[in-house]
Amino acid sequence: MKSTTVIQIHADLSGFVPENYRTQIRWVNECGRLLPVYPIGTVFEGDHAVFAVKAGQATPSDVECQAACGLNNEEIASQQLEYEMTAKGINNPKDRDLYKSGVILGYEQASEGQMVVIKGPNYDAYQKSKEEAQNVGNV
Amino acid sequence: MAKKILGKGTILAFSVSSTFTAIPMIISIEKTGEGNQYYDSTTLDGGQYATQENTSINKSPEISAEFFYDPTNAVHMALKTSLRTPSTTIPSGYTSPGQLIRLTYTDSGPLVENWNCVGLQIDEKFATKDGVKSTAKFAISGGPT
Repeated sequence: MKSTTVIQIHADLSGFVPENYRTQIRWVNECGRLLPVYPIGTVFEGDHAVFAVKAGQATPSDVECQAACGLNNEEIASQQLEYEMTAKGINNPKDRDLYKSGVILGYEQASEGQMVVIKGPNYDAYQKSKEEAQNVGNV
Repeated sequence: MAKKILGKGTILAFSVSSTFTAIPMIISIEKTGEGNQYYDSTTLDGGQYATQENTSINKSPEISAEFFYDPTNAVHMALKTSLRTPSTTIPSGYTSPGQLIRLTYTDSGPLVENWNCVGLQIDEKFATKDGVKSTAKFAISGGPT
């Protein structure tokens, strides 16, 4: 059973790492530190392949994995979107809805030490419709 | 200049088959108890005030996370599996068998801390006016890496 990652996942090298996993690890520079990651396209195997699909980290690469995870393509896509948000620290239900709608892409620290959202492609349209709705309410 | 950083966006992940897997639907995270260990060194022939001395040993923290619990979620299920079948592997850099957990702060760095979790407790709370919530308490051995 095999699955292929659809998101970059940080690797934990403190314990046993199978040889076929080890060869797929890449080191990425994250703010001056090199961290090991499994890049998008990494192939997981066995029970872990099924777990990765169920967790939303990967997509099945063979029929056995697809059957073992017990999810249809729509459910798999939904799980992947859910995990994408979790991995970005987006846990607030309202923010998750905004992320799904393309209004925000995540969070970032502003220079003054405030958290701001990273604007998504639909951010401006969302703000505009919110203002319009407010104006209607004020009339 | 020191900057305020917010809790929103903090990520708690734990190691599953050599991947750091983020825990979904977290409401809050607490890290408590990390500190110096000290003892009362007051003697009968001492001065007016009681004295204390550092043992040169640091206490590890306990990390806990409250989250909406979904018994069908693969990551929540993996947490339960970790509790029922604790790891017997000693992570490199540590002396006790455990499983690494990773806390990623929201600063621009960001700061990333790995801790060796040697024990896990998961409590669940069911209430009429609330979703089912769970609290996972991670007992930590050693320092951060």
